[in-house]
Amino acid sequence: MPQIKTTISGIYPKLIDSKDTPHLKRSLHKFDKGSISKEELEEVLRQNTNQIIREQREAKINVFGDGLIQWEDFYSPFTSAWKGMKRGTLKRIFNTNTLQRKPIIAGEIEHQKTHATPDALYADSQLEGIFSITNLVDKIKNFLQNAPTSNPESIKATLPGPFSFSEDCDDKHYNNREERLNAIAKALNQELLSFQESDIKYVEIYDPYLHFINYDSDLLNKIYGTLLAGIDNVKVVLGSFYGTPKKENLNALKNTQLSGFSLDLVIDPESLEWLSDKTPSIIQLGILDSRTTARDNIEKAKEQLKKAKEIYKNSEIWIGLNNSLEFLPRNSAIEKMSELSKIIKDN
Amino acid sequence: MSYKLENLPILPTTVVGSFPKPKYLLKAMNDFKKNRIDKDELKKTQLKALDDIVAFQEEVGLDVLVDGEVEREEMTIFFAEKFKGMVASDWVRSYGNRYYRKPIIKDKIVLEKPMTVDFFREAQNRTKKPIKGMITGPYTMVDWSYDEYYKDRRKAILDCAREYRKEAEALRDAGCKILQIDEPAASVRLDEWDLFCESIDIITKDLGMYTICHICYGDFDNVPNFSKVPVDNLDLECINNNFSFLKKDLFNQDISAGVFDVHTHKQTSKEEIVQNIKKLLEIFPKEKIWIDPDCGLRTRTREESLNQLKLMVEATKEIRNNL
Repeated sequence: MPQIKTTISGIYPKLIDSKDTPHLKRSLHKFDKGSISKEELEEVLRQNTNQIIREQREAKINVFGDGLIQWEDFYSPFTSAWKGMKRGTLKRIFNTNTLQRKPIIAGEIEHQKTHATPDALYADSQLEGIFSITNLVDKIKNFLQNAPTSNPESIKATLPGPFSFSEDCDDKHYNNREERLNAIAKALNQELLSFQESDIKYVEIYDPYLHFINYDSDLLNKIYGTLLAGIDNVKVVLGSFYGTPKKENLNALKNTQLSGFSLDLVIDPESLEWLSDKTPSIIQLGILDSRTTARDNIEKAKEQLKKAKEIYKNSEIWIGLNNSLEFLPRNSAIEKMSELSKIIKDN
Repeated sequence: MSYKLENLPILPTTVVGSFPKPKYLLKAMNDFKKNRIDKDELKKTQLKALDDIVAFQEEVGLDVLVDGEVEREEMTIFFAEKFKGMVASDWVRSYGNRYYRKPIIKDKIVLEKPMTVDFFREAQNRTKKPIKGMITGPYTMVDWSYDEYYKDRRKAILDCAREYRKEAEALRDAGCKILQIDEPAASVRLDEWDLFCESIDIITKDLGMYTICHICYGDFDNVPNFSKVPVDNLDLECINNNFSFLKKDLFNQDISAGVFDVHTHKQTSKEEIVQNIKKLLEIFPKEKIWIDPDCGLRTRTREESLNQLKLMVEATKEIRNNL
């Protein structure tokens, strides 16, 4: 029987309203205005991250997300840190009411070994003075040291995928898409290698354009090959977020070093069988809807999990919500997280 | 659509709607939420803010003014708390460190009494220039809400539109000549463009007002048919899109074009604004163009807004004088 675990993906709702946890939004404003120090803000972030872990533990999540509460969006840590990149104007994220800063490629992209420069851990944005993090590995290490969990294998980090990064960029430097994709994939590969040096065992890739655009299979293979080069100790799972990646894209990526694939069963329930001819190490199922406070059809979710167990007998199955929890108010996010373990229990 | 406005100059200047809230107003809103002041006390403070915002716009020299949304915490929650059938959820992030309380549709959407007429009247009493009535459109209201009742987007959007029609008529009956419908969500699900247009038509058909629809931060390059939106004027975020999608043949309405980015502390210079207006004049006849910022100014400081709007008005006047 496949092992079944619960997990979360993406960005966690940031406003933590707890007696014991400082208010993150207010603290960020204070930091922007210079009324609290970097160290004071780091303490606030640490406490908030701990609270996020506590909430996941209470909801019986097995593969924890770190919540990405220090990320403004999926690209901000990299556009702030990498040479050749700047943060641009706001752009709506697909059909949401959430906006992200367009990454601008102003020159040759060069990955910065940000963990070697702890003083640059946090940086003001050039445009708005908004807080952002530039040191992923230090952040995760700090998180592991302080979080109320002693099992580092239960942590899943997140990285943006090269295709979505490329699509969302305003490229003023490279002459064509392949050059741009290659540069981004190389830089992201350096981030993955950094994870490999740390205790992180799982990384989820945020590459939602794979759901919307049918990419050339050779290009997919090449770029994901670059992204995953030299990665053998980290299990990299392709996320879904706005729908399951297109069948053709999944087929093209089946034989890469990706350890796992996500299927969005809320938006694309028919995709449950799309990988039936392969036995990925991990199958992640977006089984509850992270875009609505309405109650999910739990019976349907149980049925989907039952079928998944039959199809993916030799894979580890992770179940979660189908997108970032931050699209939900926190109380609703917690409620939905808690439903996950009940779905497993009844299976 | 063909409602004619009188007494406006060529290239009328306006703003999209929201202004930065003064600290005393934010404090009063917070005090009201915590029951430290009553509704009357809050309204006194809102009217003081309205005095300031109307005077501010007069000082800047805008041609069409707004009430600055002084009584609105945010563009969706204000209406959600007034429509029967909708409630507020907890905070959800919009971008960066900005958050809003996302509405939840719990029951059939019903307008019990006019929502914006009172402050329209108050604002109009403070100036001889026209004040725009402003509503957050039905498509955006539904798209930006959690729907726990209809579970059918079409039904929810059209129901909401029918209730907004009553609001529009109430504004018209109160003397409002210009209605702006804010629909930032309109261009994010282009397969529903016809539904969006149908919902706007419910509000604007034979209304007897000059109607504007504001749309921003969407996939403008792929909008199937701008001219199908049944309004007199489309107000579009342009600077952030680098005007690339604007083509004369795509529009039969007047165009309000955003000429500076509102989501940055960086000031757009007068020369840049002049260039942006010239770009518009290359595409559209001067009689069809209105000038405004890309979006609401609520996230900017008062000083930033004042400086930037003054530059916008100066740039417009400079162009006008040379037409």
